[in-house]
Amino acid sequence: MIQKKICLLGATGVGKTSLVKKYVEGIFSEKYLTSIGVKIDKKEIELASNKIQFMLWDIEGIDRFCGFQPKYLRGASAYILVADQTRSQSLIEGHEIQQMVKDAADIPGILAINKSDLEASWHWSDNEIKQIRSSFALSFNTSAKTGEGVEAMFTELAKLLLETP
Amino acid sequence: MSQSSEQTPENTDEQQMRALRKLILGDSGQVVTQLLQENARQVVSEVFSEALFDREKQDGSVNKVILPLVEKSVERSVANHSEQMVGYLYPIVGSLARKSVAAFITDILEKTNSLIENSLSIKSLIWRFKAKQAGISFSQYVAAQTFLFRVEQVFLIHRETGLLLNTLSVDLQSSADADLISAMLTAINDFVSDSFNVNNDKGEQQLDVVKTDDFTLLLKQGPKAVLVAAVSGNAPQKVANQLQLSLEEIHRLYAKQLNHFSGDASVFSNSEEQLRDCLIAELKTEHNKTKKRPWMALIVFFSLSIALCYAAFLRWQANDALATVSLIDEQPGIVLTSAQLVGFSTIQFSVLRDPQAITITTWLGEQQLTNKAKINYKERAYVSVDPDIIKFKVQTILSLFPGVEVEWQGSMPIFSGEFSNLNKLRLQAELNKVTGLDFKTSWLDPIKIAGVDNNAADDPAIIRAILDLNIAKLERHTIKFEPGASTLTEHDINTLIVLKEEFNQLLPLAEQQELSLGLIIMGASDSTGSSSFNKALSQKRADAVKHQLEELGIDKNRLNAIGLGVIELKTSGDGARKVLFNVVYFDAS
Repeated sequence: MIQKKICLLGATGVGKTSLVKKYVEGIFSEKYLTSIGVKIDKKEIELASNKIQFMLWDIEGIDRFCGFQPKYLRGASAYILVADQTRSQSLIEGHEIQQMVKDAADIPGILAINKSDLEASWHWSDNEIKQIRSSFALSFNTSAKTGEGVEAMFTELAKLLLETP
Repeated sequence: MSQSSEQTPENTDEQQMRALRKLILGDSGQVVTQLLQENARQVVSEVFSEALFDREKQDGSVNKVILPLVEKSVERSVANHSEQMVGYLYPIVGSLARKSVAAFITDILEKTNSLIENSLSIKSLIWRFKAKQAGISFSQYVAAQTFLFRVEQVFLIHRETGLLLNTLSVDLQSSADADLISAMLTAINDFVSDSFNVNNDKGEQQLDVVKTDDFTLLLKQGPKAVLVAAVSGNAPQKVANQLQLSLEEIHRLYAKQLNHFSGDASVFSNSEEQLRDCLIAELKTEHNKTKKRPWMALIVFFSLSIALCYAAFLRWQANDALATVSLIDEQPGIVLTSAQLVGFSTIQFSVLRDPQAITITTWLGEQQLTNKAKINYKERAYVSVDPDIIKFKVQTILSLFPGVEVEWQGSMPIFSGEFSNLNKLRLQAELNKVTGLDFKTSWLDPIKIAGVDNNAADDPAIIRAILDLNIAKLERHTIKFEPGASTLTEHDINTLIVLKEEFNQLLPLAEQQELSLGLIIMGASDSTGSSSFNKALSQKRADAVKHQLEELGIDKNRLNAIGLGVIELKTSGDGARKVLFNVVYFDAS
């Protein structure tokens, strides 16, 4: 079994914690998130060839005013950036976070455009979205409510990480 | 000149050599040089070390040239690859530091140990008490307090990623959440190191110990991995030491795997051996501890027992002494009114004692009680009519009359022996005084009168002398009055009773001498008031006394009351208000 550390990032209120809640196994209460800024869960994915276990570091919502804790990124194999398609601002902040991660570590990023069960209400054009998606290794439309895209996201991420040496 | 002349041949040599080389090699000189240059590396490498050695030996210049270079490169290496340098130095420095720390800790432990064993501090007393409450020996309790611990689980965590590399638990089913715990520990460590990084240099703050009431997480941070032990109880230093050892060993054995860790923890499965070394439990030391005799407890126990025994002995002795003291009641002339133990071993008693009886102190001394217990007593005098004390009193009196002996038939004394007539009278008087002895003059009849066959009464001179003596004694009585009063008090009447007895005792003596006795009663008064009043008052007082004596049974023909009036003496004062007596005798012709 291979273990990988994955960081879950995103602006405040985009639903990072809700997104993985149903799909992960955890023992720590969510209050750790506000106490020390990180909550850890794990997620096992079984692929045909191998089994992989993600240690998901759910890092407290980041906004432009509060800094980024690069230490939590240390040793991560990938990061998942969550954005809220009902709030344009969340993608702008997501982009800033992406830049900050790039400065700290050279790891693949996954974009999760969340709340896909709701109507997209941000004013990004399809082109703009496409461009943004291309700057990530993978991107998914997800819904914490319906569960759409979540399993697929983890499975694809597992494949991606096992393929890269 | 000389210089130039010396240089000239040298220069000439050089020039000649060059010329010679040109002659021999000609144009091929270029080829040789080129060949040499091509093989320069090989040529130099063959003699490089030797050349360095020779040159260093020759003038020491190699060292001077190389030293700054080495210093500079080391400096650069440390600055640029500090992580690596730490990695190299870690096992060496670790073991050095460990040795010195171990020595220090051992020293401290030994001192603390002896301190615990030897001290009777409040803490140790409390521990003793608690140990007693818990029903275990003191040493066991101390062990539980200081040494009883168990390493429940060990985690080997990859430092960079926080991923669990291996874990080992005392209970066979190792915690399923070990991976989550190790990730969280890493996060907490990051949090701490970030939150409390006081100085912004490279030295990161690291978690060392996480402690709860009875659970301790010991963290040992290595450059690549972190070893964590979850310890229940009080983790001693040696757990930390063992963690350090194991961590160093893991770093040594798995240096490559740690550097290139990609998430596959299976390569670390063999590290279980190192982790197992860390699963220390200090349950066995209890037995070693219990084997040691609890000297302190034993000493205290024995001291207490001895104290108790001694107290019991004292109490027993006091009770014994009290029983002996009760026997004092059997002593003639002594009545025990109360006897009891006061406090722990003090005896207190009260007695009535006839002054003639044995003294309490002497008696206590005879019974050897004074050194057995502390004794307090109260003594009150009384006159005993105990047959024994009466006998004793008679015996005492007789000791003054040598030649007279007494034997007792029950309470009846039988006197025998011989003595003078005078002594007979004296003995009579003495025996009369003995309270409880119903003395009869006839008792003395068996005693022979020494010297003369006839009665002592036949010696008129002696009898007259005795008579005078007794008269003088009688005349000492007076009756005093309050100012202006002529009534007799009870005390006065008592005096008159004695006086009457004495007077009546005189009568037989007087008869023997053929004398007639008379008692003159003389009343007097002080100078207050008129002389006629005083005259009358004094007569009245004398009459009152005379009347009383008549009533008591003295023949009135023998009595004569006279009122003297005022006794005019400066020194008389209050004493003038009295009645005086004077015995007169005449030949009864």
